[in-house]
Amino acid sequence: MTDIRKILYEICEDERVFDEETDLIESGLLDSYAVIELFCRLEDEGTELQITQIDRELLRTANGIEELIAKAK
Amino acid sequence: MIEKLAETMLRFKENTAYICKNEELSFGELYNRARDFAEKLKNDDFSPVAVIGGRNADTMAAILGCVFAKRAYVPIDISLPEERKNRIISLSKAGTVIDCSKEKPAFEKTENRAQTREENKTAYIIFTSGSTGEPKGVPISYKNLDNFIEWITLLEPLDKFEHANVLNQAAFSFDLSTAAIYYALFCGHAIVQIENKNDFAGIIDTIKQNKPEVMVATPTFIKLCLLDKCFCQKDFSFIKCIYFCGETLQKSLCKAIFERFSDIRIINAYGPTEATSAVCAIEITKEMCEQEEILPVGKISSAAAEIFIENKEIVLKGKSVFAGYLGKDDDFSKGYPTGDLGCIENGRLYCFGRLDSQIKYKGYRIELLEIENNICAVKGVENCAVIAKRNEHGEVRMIKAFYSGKAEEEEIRAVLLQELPEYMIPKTIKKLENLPVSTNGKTDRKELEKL
Repeated sequence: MTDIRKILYEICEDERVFDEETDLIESGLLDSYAVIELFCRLEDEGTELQITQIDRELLRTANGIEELIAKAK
Repeated sequence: MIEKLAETMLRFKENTAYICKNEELSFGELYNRARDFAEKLKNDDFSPVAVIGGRNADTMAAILGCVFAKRAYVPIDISLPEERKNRIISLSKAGTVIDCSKEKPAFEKTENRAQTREENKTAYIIFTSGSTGEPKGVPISYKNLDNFIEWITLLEPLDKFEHANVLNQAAFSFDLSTAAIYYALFCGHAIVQIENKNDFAGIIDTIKQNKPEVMVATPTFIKLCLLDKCFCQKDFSFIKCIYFCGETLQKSLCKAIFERFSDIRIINAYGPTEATSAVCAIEITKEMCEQEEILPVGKISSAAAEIFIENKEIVLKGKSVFAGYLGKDDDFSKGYPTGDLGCIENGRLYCFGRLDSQIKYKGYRIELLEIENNICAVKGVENCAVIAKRNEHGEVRMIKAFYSGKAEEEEIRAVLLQELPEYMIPKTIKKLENLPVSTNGKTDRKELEKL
């Protein structure tokens, strides 16, 4: 099981990723650099997401990203 | 240059000049729209014009309108906080502000205009991060721009295209766009504008729909495209050339591109804003990716400026190099020291990094000191240090701030959001009891990097 919050924390180094209320995109935490790193990390762990084919809204929260991973499996 | 621009635009008047979202303008239409802007600007004096805009046709036309009216344009991105927009308008002494972010462009006159009755020799003023905490104005003259245009339109293999579509990824306030815009306009190519850089699906759609043969981009932008496995020869065979500038180009990225696109041509260009977007470039080959330790950033023989090394620093001289910062009494007649560390070997220029605390992040130049000064100005902050965290390739991955004092992290973030562009806001702002101090009494940045 991929612990997405742990990965997000490692990438963003900011406790705000654990807050369910945080909008990852709006807050600037998941900027273009972080997105590149997140996708590469997920790919290393066996989840290949196609950036153009996912619902961007789901990238806003850790729960949403979990949903994306579940769908990709 | 202005006559030549008008002449070129009219010669190609039937061809497409600008594509953004659902808007498409021919050279003729863009010319007429720019002339309308110029007409409205003519009755004033020759003070600079601040153009607040996003990535749309009106902003493009307003910029060209300033050129036709012989008034320097000051591109200001809509995404900047109001405070910073106002500071740039005031520092530039712009007499007119055109707000192109609205449906209908709005004109506004300012009180604090530069007193100029004579035609302006400055083509545009771009503001970059300044170490004092204030944005720093870089005026580029028509002579500078003219020299740059001559260089880029003759640059191999960009000179081989005819009526191509040229992708412009950057905002007008980022001078990577200078390369895309003037190359395209002077060669009769169409500019394909990326509208929203955070809409990944939209970016790929825009590329697919408009089929740019040439892409003018930062390495990060292409990395984002490569995240999509479909971004390859099969579906994107129309892409023939990528012109990179604005960030260090890594071998690993070039290798990834060559793996996906077998006969693509990659250009790596180099130059600071102070020398008009770029002064030299070199085509990166598959062999270079194998043989070179780091990729070269240009060929000396075909450069737009005289390039030499002084105490390991890259120094630029010549027609592309600006005269000095806005409001400063600079003398760069003996050469402009870029602050970039570099060397020249076998006629190739290499760049290793910076002499000072300036960093490149998301293609933008950032003075860490400017961020520090802004944080220190927040009430309740005693001391602060801003560091850039780098990955194994030496690329800046993140900006982190540490401070001591009574202020809360969220307070600082809120102040910075009002003062600084989004790309300058540290991702983490952390409160420490005391900042670590090295043996010589200075803030120990090495220690902070470990936190």
